[in-house]
Amino acid sequence: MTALLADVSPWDLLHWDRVLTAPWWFALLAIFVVCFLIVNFIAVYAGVNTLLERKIAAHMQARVGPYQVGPHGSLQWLADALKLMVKEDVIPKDTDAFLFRLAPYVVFGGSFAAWVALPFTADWSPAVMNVGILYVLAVSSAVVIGILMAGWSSGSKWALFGAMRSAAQIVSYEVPVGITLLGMLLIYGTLDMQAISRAQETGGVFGFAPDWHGGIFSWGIFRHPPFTIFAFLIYYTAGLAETNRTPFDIPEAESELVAGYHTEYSGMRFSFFFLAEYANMFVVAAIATTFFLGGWLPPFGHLVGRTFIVSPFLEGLFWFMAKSFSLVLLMMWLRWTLPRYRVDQLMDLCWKRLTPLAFMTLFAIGLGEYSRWAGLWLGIATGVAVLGLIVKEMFVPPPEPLESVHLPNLKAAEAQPSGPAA
Amino acid sequence: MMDFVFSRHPLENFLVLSAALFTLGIFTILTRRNAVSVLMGVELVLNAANLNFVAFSQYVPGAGIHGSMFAIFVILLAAAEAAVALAIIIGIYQNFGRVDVDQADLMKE
Amino acid sequence: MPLSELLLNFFFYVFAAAALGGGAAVALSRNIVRSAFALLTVLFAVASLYAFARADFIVAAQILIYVGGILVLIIFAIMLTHKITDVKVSNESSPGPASIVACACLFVLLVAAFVYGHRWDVSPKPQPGVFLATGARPDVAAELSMTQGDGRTGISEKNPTVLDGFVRLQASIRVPAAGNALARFGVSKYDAKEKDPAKCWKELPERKFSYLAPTPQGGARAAVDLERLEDGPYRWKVRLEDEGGESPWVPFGALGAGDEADFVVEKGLTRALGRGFMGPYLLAFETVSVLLLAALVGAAYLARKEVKE
Repeated sequence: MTALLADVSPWDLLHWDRVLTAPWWFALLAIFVVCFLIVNFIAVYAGVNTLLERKIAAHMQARVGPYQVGPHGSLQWLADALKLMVKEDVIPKDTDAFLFRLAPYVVFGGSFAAWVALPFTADWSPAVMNVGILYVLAVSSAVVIGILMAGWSSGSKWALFGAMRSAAQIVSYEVPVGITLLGMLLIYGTLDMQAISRAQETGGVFGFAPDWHGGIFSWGIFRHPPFTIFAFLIYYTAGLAETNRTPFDIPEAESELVAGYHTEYSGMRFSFFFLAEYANMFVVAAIATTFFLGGWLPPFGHLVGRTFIVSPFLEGLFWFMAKSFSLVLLMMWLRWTLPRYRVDQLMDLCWKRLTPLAFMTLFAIGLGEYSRWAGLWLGIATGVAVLGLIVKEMFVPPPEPLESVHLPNLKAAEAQPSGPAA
Repeated sequence: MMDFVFSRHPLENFLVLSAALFTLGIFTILTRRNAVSVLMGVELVLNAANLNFVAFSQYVPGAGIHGSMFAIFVILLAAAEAAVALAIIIGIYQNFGRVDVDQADLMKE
Repeated sequence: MPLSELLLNFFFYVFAAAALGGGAAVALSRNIVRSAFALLTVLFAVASLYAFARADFIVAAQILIYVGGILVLIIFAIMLTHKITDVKVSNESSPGPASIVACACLFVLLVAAFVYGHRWDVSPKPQPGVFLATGARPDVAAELSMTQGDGRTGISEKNPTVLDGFVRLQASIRVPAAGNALARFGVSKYDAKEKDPAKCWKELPERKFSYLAPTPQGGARAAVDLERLEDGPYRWKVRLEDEGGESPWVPFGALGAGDEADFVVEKGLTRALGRGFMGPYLLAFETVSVLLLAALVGAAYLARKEVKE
């Protein structure tokens, strides 16, 4: 056994190219270890995320949230997980049982499969792929089918309506997501997420000095200001809608459709949908981090002469997680701040506002890549225009309503008794 | 990881599989009565042809990327065709109340 | 057996079985919703098989467009064109004997077409007639060839792209090798950032070598495997070393300081497809985009609800 393992070490579990020449059982072991680590991380992360959400919501609403289990309620997520695991597994009678059972796994599989391509740290991600971001977008769209499967097989019309609304919403918001990411891809020139993170190390300030380590100013969000900033905002908003988070959570809003597509699910099956939603949130945040916020790069690393001080692996991991978790925190913050969109307002926002804006950012970033000075002037003009609009909204009072606006004459209708009661 | 995937299967594996998928697709188109099922059969046929194109593009060195380009175009055209076909099917449902291809024969003499 | 043989063989058959099983469910299931979800299985299985053919961009494009677009459309159409109550038995089919016989004949015909038909030559094209002359053997005619990483598929002259970073270089001579003869291979890569055109081709530091092994035909052969090459154009050369000394370096193909490369490593199809879209397929690309626009407008128009006056 030691002779067989002589030229493989535990670190090889993390590098696929060495695994491929090892004996087949070692390769299977490596696959299982990496998948085990990722699934466990997702499960624990999603569990802690439920607790964090409740705590953050509570403190924003001037209360304390869960407080009983563990110090300051910090083990509440374990209690929730245990409760969901031991709950009775109810499968309603009027359902298509096979699809009902399969749906949570399809949804979770789609969310989980996207995690393997994320660039967690410098020069390592669980699977390095040439087409990283395209793969992530592709398997995230498998979630839609799982949602439709869940809504359909639940056998109830609330679930079906929720599923169809959710599917329409996710599919619609994939368009602004794709177009904004396409604009950023024009800057980076590669689909490989590790290469994209690495490319944000040297870009100078606003991309003007390509070989200079600009630190935070070489990050994607500052490459063609303000268009990349708009791209980030559009991507983040569309990503919120992709994961059915408020203010876009009409498919699972309690006051609207009971619980949408997962109405009939209980116990462990329901927890899979939950895990998938939190996993998806992290994937959206991670893609935003990779494309716009520098991935695993530290913001001011170049000031000490080199990017990483002690260990690229650990520091890169820390920075990537810190940035992604900040974006997830922002998602939770938005949930408890903004009211919910109606479904037609949601579609209107996507097709009539976000998609044209996304196309405009694509055009502007393309122009900036073609000719840096043209991009600079267009950026300055747009920046001035947007600032002017903001100033106008803040300081110029709205016009008075006109006299000839037709309002129903409520006082007259009240004075006359009407109806059979008269 | 795609870099390290060696294709140690002979080309014939791909060709037999695509022939089988193609046959299943043709069987679906021939026998199904539901219009949406016929469309699903068409998708099977297109996928089988795509598999064939991509397999040849990989195994025959002189083919270059032309097989893969053709496969991309087939995917694009399948998308366009599915959209229009499903719109027509929905129109048929609104007019006739059912999407049975055997019964949609108003234009037959 | 190394992983690349056993596990990948196994998974090919797993995905092939999934594709066939899903296809059978699409063709034979009585419940149309089960048919649609079986189509999901088929699309994913076919995407995985594209990965076996090293078409990575097409894997992602297939899942994104087919599963994320077309299959969602199909499921929506199923839900919009059936009453909820009669979906479970809605997918009647009429499989008469004629259709079964016709399909069986079709399958036999397709398989026979390539079993008895044209044989595609995938072997490497050797560069014959080079001379690796050393002091001991003054006149040794050799054949140089290069194959892709699997050792079987040759790299063609018209299209020298290697899709992964693994290349096998081979030199074979027709006479038996003497003693400890070895063939040393030198590989150089084109550096596009180099300003001086005479120094663009930078040689890789490690010069791999391999002892000449006897072949059944009475000659000898040496082969090295180049692993994990970076993207870019490459040239290679070889020389023979034995007790009589060393032969001069013999390049495989191109000579001089031009841009001709013996093989080009380009991992992933994306750049090649992009060049294709902007090159030979530009007209088709633009036409397809106009077609997609027409399909979009047409489908939206056809599927609208008629407003009854």
